[in-house]
Amino acid sequence: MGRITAGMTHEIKNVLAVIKESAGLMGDILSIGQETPFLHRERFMKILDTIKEQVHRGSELAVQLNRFAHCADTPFVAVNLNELLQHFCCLMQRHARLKHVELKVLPHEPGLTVNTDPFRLQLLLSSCIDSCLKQLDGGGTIVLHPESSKGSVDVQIWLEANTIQEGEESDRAETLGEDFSELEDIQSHLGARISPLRGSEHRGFLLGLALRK
Amino acid sequence: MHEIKVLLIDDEVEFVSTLAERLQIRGIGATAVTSGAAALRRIEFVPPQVVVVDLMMPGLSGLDVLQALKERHPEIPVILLTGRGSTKEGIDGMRLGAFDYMMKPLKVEELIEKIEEAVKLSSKT
Repeated sequence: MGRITAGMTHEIKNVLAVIKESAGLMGDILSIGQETPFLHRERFMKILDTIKEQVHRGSELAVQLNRFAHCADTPFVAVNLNELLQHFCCLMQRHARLKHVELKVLPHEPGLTVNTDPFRLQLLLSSCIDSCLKQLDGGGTIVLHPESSKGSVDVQIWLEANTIQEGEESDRAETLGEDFSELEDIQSHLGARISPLRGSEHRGFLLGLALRK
Repeated sequence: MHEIKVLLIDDEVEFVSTLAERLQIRGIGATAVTSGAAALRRIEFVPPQVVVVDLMMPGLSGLDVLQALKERHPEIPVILLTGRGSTKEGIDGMRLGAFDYMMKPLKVEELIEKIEEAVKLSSKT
């Protein structure tokens, strides 16, 4: 599936390249004939700018999709967590935006690298995000932060709800714990665990994802 | 300065012909072909100063064209184009002797800069 998707992203980029060059050529032709009066020149140029912007947007999306497709190529590889989380947030951004939620990465300094299965790790992360989104009906922010701890690397995921009732946090944390029982196989494959993370300075929930280095 | 002769190779006919026209408008003598085999045949009779070739093509790939040129015409610099998100293929190409690689969609001005750099370098060697 990864190979097929990667091939399709290549085709998408080719299509975008044709659109971009065609729009560029149209712009060139309009610029060459500037002395000739043409009523809609400015309007055309504006439309061409929009096409270029959208091509750029589409191209960035294709890059992210291509990267996601290739992450299934090798089961265990060295993964830079800051980069993976940034990429993952790009993939999930639209999903979150529909619920008025922003996804943010608080990167680890100077960065953490773990040997893991990036595809399955992203499956776990997306389940975590899905669970978090269910708790953020009023919108908010989900923060992802990689951190090293004794013998493991954690990805902390916490919520910053726009509105939250007092006493609601602990109830919701229990609910989050239940959501991950179906992911036991993936967790054991990765040597990972997902658990509610408590006692944090951050408001809202914390999900810790522990990984073997 | 005389017109730089560039051969563009890409199986996407709309892309390569439009790009050639845009380069021509900017004073570059660009010719477009849509296969590696056609490019290699043409180069024997009309050698360009720079070759710009897409990596992913049916038949002879961009890397095949690069390798053939390195054997027969090592003096012609080759710029690779890739539509892939990863830079791996481009880096592999540079290891095989490509002058540089660029990602699609391109910025035509950046391509011209790259072409001019390639011509400058090849004229020194």
